[in-house]
Amino acid sequence: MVVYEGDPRKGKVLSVDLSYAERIRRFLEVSQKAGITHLREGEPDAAANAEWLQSLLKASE
Amino acid sequence: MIEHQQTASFRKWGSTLLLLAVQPFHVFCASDSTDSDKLLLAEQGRSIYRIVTAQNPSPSTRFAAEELQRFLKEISGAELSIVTDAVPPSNQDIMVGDSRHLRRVLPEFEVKAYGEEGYLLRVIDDYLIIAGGQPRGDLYGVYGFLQDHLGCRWFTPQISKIPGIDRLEIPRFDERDSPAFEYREVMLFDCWDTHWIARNRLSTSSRYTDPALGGTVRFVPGYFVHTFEKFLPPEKYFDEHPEYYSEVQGVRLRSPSQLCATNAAVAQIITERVCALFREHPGASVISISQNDGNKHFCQCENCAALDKKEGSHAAQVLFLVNRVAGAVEKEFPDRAIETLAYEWSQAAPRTMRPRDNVIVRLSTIRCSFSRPIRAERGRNRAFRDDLEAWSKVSRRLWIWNYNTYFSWYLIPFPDWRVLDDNLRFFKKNGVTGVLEQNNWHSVGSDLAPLKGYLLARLLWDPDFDRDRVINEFLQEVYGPAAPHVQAYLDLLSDKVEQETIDLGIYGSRTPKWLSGDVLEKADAIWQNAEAAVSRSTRNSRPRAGRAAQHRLCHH
Repeated sequence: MVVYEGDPRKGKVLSVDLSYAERIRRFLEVSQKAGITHLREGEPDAAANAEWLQSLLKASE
Repeated sequence: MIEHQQTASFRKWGSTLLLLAVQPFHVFCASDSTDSDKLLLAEQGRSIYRIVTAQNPSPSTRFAAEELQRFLKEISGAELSIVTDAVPPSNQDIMVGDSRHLRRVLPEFEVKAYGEEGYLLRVIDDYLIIAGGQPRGDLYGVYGFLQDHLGCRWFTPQISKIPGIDRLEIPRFDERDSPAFEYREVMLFDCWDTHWIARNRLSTSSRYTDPALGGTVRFVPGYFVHTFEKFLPPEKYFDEHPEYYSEVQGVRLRSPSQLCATNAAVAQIITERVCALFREHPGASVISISQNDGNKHFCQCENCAALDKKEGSHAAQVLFLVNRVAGAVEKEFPDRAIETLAYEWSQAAPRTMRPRDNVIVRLSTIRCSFSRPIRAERGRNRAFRDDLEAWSKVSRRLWIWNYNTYFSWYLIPFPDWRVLDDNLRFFKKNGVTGVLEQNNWHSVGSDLAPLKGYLLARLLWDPDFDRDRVINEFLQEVYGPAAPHVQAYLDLLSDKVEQETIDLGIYGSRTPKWLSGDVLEKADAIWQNAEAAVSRSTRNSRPRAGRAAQHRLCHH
């Protein structure tokens, strides 16, 4: 899991489990392959979500 | 042209066509079919049958003949010629649509008896008749024949099952079919393909209008839903005429707002615009005059409030406006319809008012529990059920706007599988004439979306069709060796919401509580097994797409 300093998704990322990082990598790979562009009703947001997940991956390194 | 993945053997057309060129057809087949209870349409890539249409068929009837020709060739290897009734009749014809030859065999045939989409499939002597109403009956008859008698399936825009049949014979039958609903729309990105929609016999509102596909229930472009502000843009009217807009607690609201529905000038402006749009779009049959989305600022002026109070519903003010416009445009446009919403604050039916005959009321299920049958006596759906029954009593054309995904996060599972057919049967029983099923219309990626789109297409045509048979066929053909695992995934989530009587809504947290850790772990294990089952198959990417949902969930 992800450990944040402060509020989840708002605070600084302190650590990311290796198994969780692997899940993130896989999710990004699969969603990119599938061509998912929207995750919820309204504005395109899959790219923003991917960016956030990439930041978690970076923090896990 | 879309690609088809045939699950049966592929044929080598070159050698077949060479055989066709030299084979004396009349020798083949005649003795074989006339003496039998069955019609032998083709064998070993050859056929003596022709496809016959009228001399000047409609675009959709012409396309129906071409589709039949195409798929019969894919199935049997035989390419049947398409001729018109200008040529003399033969003893072995497949008649598509009304024609002089058809009238010779079946004098009592009447196109109008089949409405816009109904059809007749009948074998008389050695003739196969596929004929129905206009504009879509002939085309849907062809697809009905291919689907119900020859086993063709169009699962997704990319994946079809077209069986290979070396000896293609059909029994004698005489059957009529027509859809359960006049309007059948699946609003789903994965399924927005013109040919997939036509082959699964769905309506498409304003998206596709190709006459070869029979047209559709077509809205005036841009006037599909939530149109109050389109008719009276506040930037154009508000400064000079604030009285056109909702009065809320004594103040006229510019935006977000609604209209002052009892204001005669508002009705006049909308009427003029509707007439202009209908003239501009002669192919459109429906226009929506419906409340803006995202706010509950119905008008509380003296007149609107009095009307709502008398009728016991805020739908009264909307219906007052819509009826007023519908009455004004009816004379010039007797075959067009005005659609409106019964949605959120306007969901309940008025006590005494009735929609005019040229008005379609579209009732939204937005506050329902989508994991429980709407017909249930108790629980969250009771209010909707009462509203549906009330609208049903006063509406000539009643449509439903239904939902089947989680709009707050499309990848979240939405296990409504076990109530989809039940709800459609309930709608039908209560006089509903049209249904829109809204799913993820922005992108691929909602929970097993192609399966849901296909299932809904089949059930919208016939809500009594065996739901589990449709799902099973889809899983077997699309997922192959992973099918039992995907079924286990469906069961896992369906059991969870059913056994724990969980109400499934369409909005909420990205991490709904009902998706507990143990369920996610089980789901993940199922998808691992699914991937393993197809690891050496060419189909191995499909379980991965489904699994995206699981990975999103497991992030939290």
